[in-house]
Amino acid sequence: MKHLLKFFLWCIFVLMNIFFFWGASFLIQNAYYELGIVFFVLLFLIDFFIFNPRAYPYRYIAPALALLFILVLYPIYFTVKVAFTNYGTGHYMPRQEAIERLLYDPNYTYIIEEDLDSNYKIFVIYDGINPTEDFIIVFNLDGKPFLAEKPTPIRRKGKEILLSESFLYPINSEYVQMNNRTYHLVPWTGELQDLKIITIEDKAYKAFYSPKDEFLQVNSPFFKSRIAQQYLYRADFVDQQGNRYALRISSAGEWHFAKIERLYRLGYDESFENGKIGLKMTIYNNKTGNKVTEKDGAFYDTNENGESVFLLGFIDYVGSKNFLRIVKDPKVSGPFLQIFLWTFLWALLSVVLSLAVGLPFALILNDKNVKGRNLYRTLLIIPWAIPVFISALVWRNGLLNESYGLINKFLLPLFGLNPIRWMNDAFWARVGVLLVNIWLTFPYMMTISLGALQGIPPELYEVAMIDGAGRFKRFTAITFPFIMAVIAPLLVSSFAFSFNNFTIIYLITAGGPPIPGSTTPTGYTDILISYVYKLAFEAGRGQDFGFASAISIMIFFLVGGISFLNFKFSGAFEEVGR
Amino acid sequence: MRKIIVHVILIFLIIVILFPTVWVVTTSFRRDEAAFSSELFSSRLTLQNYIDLVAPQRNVPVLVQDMQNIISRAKPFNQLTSEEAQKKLEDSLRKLEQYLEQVASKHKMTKDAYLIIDDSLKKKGEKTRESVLRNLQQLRATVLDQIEGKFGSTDQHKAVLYEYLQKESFDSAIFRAFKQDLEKNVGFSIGSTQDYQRAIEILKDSYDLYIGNQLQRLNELSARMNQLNNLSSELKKQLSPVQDQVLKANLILENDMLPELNALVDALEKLRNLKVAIKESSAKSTMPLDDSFFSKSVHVALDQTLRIEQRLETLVDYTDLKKSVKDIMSILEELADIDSSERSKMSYSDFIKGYKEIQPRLERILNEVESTMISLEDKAFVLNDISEKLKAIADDIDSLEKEKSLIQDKVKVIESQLQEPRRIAQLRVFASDLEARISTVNAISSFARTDLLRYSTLLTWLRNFANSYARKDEVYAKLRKIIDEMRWIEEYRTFSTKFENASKNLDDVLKQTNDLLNDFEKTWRDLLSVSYSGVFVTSDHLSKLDDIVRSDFVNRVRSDLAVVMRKAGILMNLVPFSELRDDFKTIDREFYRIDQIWKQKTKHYFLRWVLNSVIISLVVALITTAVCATAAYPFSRMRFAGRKYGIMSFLLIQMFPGVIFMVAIYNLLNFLGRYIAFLGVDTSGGLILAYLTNIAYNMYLIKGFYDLIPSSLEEAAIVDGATRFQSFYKIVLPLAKPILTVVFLLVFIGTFNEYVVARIILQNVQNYTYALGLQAFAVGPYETEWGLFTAAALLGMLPMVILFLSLQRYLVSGLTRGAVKE
Repeated sequence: MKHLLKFFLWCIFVLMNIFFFWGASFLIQNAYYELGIVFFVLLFLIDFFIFNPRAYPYRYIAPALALLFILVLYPIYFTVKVAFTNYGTGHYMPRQEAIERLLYDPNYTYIIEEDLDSNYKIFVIYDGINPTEDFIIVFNLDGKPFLAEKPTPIRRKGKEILLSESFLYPINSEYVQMNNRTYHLVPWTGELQDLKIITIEDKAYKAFYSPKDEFLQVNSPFFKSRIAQQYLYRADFVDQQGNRYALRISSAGEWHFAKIERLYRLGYDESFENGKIGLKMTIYNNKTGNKVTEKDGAFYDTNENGESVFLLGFIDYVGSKNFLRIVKDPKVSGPFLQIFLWTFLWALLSVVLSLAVGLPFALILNDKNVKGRNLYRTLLIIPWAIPVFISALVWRNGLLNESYGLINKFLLPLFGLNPIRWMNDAFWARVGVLLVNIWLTFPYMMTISLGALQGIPPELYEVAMIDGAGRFKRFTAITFPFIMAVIAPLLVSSFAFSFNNFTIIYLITAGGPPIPGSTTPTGYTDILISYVYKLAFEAGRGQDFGFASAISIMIFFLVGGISFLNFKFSGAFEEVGR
Repeated sequence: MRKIIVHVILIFLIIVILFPTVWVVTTSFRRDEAAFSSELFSSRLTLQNYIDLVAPQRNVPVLVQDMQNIISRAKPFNQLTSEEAQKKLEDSLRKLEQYLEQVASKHKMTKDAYLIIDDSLKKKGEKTRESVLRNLQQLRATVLDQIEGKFGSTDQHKAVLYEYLQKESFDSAIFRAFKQDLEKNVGFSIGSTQDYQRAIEILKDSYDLYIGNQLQRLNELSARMNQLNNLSSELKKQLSPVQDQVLKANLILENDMLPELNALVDALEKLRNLKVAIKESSAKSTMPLDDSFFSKSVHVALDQTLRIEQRLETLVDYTDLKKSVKDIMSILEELADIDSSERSKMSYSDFIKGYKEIQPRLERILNEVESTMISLEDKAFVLNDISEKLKAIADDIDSLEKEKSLIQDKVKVIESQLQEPRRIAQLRVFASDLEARISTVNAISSFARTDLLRYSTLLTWLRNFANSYARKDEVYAKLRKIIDEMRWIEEYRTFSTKFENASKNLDDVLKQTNDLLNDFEKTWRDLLSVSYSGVFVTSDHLSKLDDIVRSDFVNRVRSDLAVVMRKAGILMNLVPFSELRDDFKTIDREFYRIDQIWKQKTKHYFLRWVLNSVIISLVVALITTAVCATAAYPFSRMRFAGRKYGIMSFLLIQMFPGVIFMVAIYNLLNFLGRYIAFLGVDTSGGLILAYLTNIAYNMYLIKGFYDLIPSSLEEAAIVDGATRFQSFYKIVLPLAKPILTVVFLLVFIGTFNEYVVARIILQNVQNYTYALGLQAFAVGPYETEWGLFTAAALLGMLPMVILFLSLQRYLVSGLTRGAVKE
């Protein structure tokens, strides 16, 4: 039994090794070098832990380490890397992939024989009365009949198929031999429209669609949506001479087959570098013979007027451009400065004001003479207990809404005040989000203050009373300094948390109202982190992962600095290291 | 005493602070559309919001749509076999019929209730009328009490009488109301139009004396002032072109002529010097020169400069010009003064020649200056004239203004004196109208439609008077009371019209529906078999039915239903006959049910969302706890390199919220998803992976607990032959169960409450977690469906709040070491 278990564990270990090794090689093959290296390092570490008896304690930590590597360290690295690139709208793929796309994507082909006399007929297998996606095609190209099977993918990017291919076999008789299979064409008269059925072994392909056959027009929607779009659009059909045919939409809006050729090909260019002659990979335009140029992380072709035409962007290293943009571009730096200052103000006010609300409650509830303090405390904690997104949505929708919200509809008219434009006025939007945040966090402040209050030795008060100190004096001289000494580190981490409190800002105002005249999506209540989110994920103005990452790094250093100092001064290092 | 105050303040603050939660709870049970309601809370409650969320019913629109889909074999019914489809359709049909029966029976109940209400109100029509009458009579008494004998015969009263009567004819209603007062004031009885006119004449005299003259004077003054103002603006209009011309002339003088004059002065000065030189020269000319032209022209020029100077004198400005002209004049005078000795000199002819050169320029410029001066003078005259006129007008207006304000003050005083008599007069007219109204009410015999209309007009009239009545005295209070008491009649009127309308239309719709359904029942089997033979078909009956559900019902019934329900809600508290309350309640309740059966509801995936959230949170909590529990063990028990700074660096690295790296995480998942489908973007697996970052802090918590477990237990086990892992697995883990539970729950709560990462990673509505789903309930088409939103919020919030409160202890004790939730 024990041996069995051991064997089982070893099996798992071997499998894991294989997985990591395969994963790492696969990643490196696909140009994800960094992640591949992470995998290799992990593999090495795990093996080391297992085989070295002295590394026994590390075996326990391995899973945590793996998660840390993949989900924390790699993202940190990735963010730093992206911050120096132009990754974003128009620049989504690595250079290698961009080249592949230029070479294989059907968008980059051109038709070389426009008025080709072509006809085709699709045959599919039916499942009962429903057509399936299993089909073959019979062609008539320039009077010569061909048969082709369903195209098979030859170039993929993940699940996405870049290009599929299928071969055209000439039809000479009613039997066509193809890939060791024999297709029987019934009946074969040499004319496409007469052909009714094609059998192979026990399968039968029935005539399904042909552009010139009126009886089969019924199936046109299925053909277009399920066969043409999914299989034929990205497929080349190659005959024995190597000519390529592909389905294209003609100027009349009809799907027909045309003789095509790739627009781009790879070539090598001699270049002089350091006095040596080297070969440099270059892309040529087949049609015009022009060289494709590369500029600012994108490929450009030259048209007949000699103008550069944007082809395809790729991810390119841009140096510190993203960081410089924050300082140099006035349309970015102005709003950015506003956001930056507001983020600090927001975090500071959140902490100070919620402490100002929470502390008095703590003082009252700390009084042992107040009956039912536990009940009061529990009730007051409720705003903290409610999930933040629920509170935010409730406030946004029920209370702060400009036309139906309770505050505008019931509370303000009670005092004869005009409705407040919570969502559209910069000042009031800020007041609104602060209000909600104070409501959410004062119970936390109250709780930590209560904890701190309980640690104050009562003798201090007795002595102070003997010295004739009044109530207020006792508060300023004893209570407050004592509380602050205990909760100061918590306040700092609270500050750091508010600094990145995306949920409230995003759910209540979504950063709005927008700051006019900015080229990036900015709003008056935006804090840095919501700004990053908008830059990266709100596609309205195009995504800009590079710039978003640059700001992420700034946040990283700001928050990291604050927290590090906090750790250092609160003595958390010693406590943890114990 | 102080204690009580503290408690009161605390309770008040807690109510304020917890108000949003209270609002969530109450709103989730509300039956009406809270977003549009003018009331903060409502007493008409329902559980429908929760039913819609947790167990959505397949009501009429859904059934019809489903049946159509079955017939045409559309999703999600495209996989059914023919028998299954048949069965499913039969079920749906039966269900639909049940619903229709239910609606019919409920409708019957409402009709019965309405009949009872109508009947009983009709029976109580007498009583209602009596109470209204009693009220009106009381009102009349109050009013009469107010005006009794108050209408004297002072000037004020006469004036007010005239105000009221001046446009009335003899024997009009208002005349009759004031007849006695009029007679008392004029001193003779009025029996004919002539009498009346005579009386009015007398009144008019008195009125004019008292206030009319003043008012008339005021009008006159205003008219006069208007006229003057018009005049002055007319003049001002004339002024501006003249001013313009003057300015232009000025410009020419200063910039064009003055330099030329100065140049001329220079030239003339040279000539003068020449003349002085001539005097001193000795060479004599041989023959006398003809200088008649010179002397003539010099004198002409001299005269002209003299004229110019005189003109210039009248003007204040132009010092430069004056100086130049003076210079020219003085030089010319010197030049003109020629004696014979000079004339005889030889160079005299040069002098004459020089002058001849200058003369045309001199003549031209002097002419120009003179003509400009003349026109300038004219303009100045005009300007002067106009400004004087304007000044006179302004003075006039001023004095008129003074007079006007004086009169206005007087009128104001008089008006204030008139206030009370006017009020009395208003009341008098009202009292006389009231007589007429009382008699109409007297004529009301029942509680039928026409009677309701009468009550309603009466109410409108009362309301109008209340609004125009300025003083808030007992008359006003009485009026308000009557209006409040009578309000239900008006509400009932709307209620009954809308009810009858809705009821009739509902019958109509039901009949159509039944007919269509009957027809459909005869044909659907054939239709289905046709569909299953491979032909795409739809049922016309069902599409017609769909139309009825979507548009006919909504347009013809639903809006009225809503009004009826709201009015029933109001009436059940307002109607003075409490025995009818239950019937109103019935109507409200049954109509609500009917509406729910027919209402087109928006599709949502609430249960799916909650399930997603729970599964994700459970998996994340499980994995995190397991990983942390193992990883914490060596930190607590073993010595190894990196032990001291291990957790520390873990903690430091994890201090940054994952949100900062959202770009990286999104990208990582995007990449993974290309090869491993269940770990991609927009999958639960991917989200779980992204959530597995919360390790360091929990590890630290668990390590703290392990430290408390005495290591002697493990040592004993190892002595007994257990391996290290066994001692961990069999001894430490079971003992650490409390902290593991806490960590598990904390991670569960944290994951359940997470929003940002989910927002980034999930896109498809069906994959949403609860947090995203709730947001979907708060925006777009749901923004005002507060019932559904608050119910969903409460369902999500309640377990979390309870969990949180029960874990409070651990949170608070953990706080001094670092925030947990944060």
